[in-house]
Amino acid sequence: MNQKDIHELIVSQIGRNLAVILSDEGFKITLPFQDYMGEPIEMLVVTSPDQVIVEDLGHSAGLLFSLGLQSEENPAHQLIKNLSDSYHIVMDYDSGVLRQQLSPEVFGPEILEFIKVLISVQTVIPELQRRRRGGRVGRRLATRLGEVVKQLRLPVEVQRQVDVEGKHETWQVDYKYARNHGPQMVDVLILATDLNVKEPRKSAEHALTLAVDVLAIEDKRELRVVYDVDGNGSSAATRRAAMLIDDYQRRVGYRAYNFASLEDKAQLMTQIVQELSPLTRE
Amino acid sequence: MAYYDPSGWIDPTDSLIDEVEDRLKLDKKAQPKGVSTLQRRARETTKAFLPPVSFELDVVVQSTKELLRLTEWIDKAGKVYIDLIVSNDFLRKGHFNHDWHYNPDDRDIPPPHHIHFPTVKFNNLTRPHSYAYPVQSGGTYLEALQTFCEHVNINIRAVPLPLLRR
Repeated sequence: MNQKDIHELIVSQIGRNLAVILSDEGFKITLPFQDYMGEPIEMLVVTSPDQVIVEDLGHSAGLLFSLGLQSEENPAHQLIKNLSDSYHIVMDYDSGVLRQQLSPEVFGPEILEFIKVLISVQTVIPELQRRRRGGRVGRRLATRLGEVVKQLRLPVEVQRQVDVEGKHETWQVDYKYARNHGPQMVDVLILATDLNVKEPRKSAEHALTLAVDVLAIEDKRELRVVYDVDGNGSSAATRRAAMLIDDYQRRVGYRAYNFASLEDKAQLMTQIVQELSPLTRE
Repeated sequence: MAYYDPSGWIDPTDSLIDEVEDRLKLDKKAQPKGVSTLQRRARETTKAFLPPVSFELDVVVQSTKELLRLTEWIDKAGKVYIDLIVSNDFLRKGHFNHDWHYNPDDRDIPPPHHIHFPTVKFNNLTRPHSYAYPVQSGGTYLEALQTFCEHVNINIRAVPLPLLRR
């Protein structure tokens, strides 16, 4: 591919995906950029003899609503507000749209600034959400796990933040309960391991050492290590740490669950419910 | 009520996520969104930036009592967006009055209506590439909601409609 071909490709990529359609109100512009769902970003241009109004069709508010970030206390909401203030855009709470009134004289440069804001919102907000989820997981996976466990409305009390004795050390796990295993009871220990941290390898090492030590004593115990790694949103170091936890589960004897995987999450929750249901316990 | 199995729309090397589909098959009932006193107080004192038309419902899985969230919003051009969510995971995304959708396996979906679903390979519905299948429906928010709920086995009879905010 020579330079001319590349030039043509770039121009056609932008030109081919840009559409301006005349409507009763003015123009609907389809931009050559996509939102987080892969749909083209659109905007509306309403014209009158003495002014031009540009609007986002409600897509910025829709994005917040879909992701549950619409409250003004949310950083995503705050980001849109800051951008609106900086670029003199009206955040119309009554109609749910971003709107800007442009003067026909400087219409060209201003509309590009409006487009810049729309693309920024559609690009950054979904990533903010991902980062927020990641960050929250990093700090408070145990809390998230707790919320889900609480939702299960378990009939039997499950101990939280319990110290358990290992062969050499005392360790803290997030949950402990006893389940029937034939004629005897087995202790189930659940450890939430935050891997979305500065040094995920250390967290993985801690989980592995805990597992070896806690499972080394004679008592009948089962250990479940829960981590939360999103294949798309986590760092390479975090993914490697997750692999450490995954790979050694058989050899050490614990079971690993990725809380970001719907399948793993459901499996863990179903197992807890089954083990603690009064029917099973009888 | 019913459930639509979209497995025929995906590449043979991919598969549906059992845990998602099992949830969708179970009987579910929609109800107006429950708001606790604390939440109500917070809502009274904080502003929310909401799209031109929007509403939210609680969806209860009858057998497990699990709570899902259903949201619907409409843009100024009449495009309807419906999401079914558990925690932060999107189980389905309904798009009505939309343009073409381009599936990862190139079996593209013509306008106007389609529903996105997660698979093992394309499990994140908040990423540009995900599978969708076409649906037949009217284009109003109510017809879209009825169609969507029929496909994911949600009973909406108990919900007083219309619920539009604006």
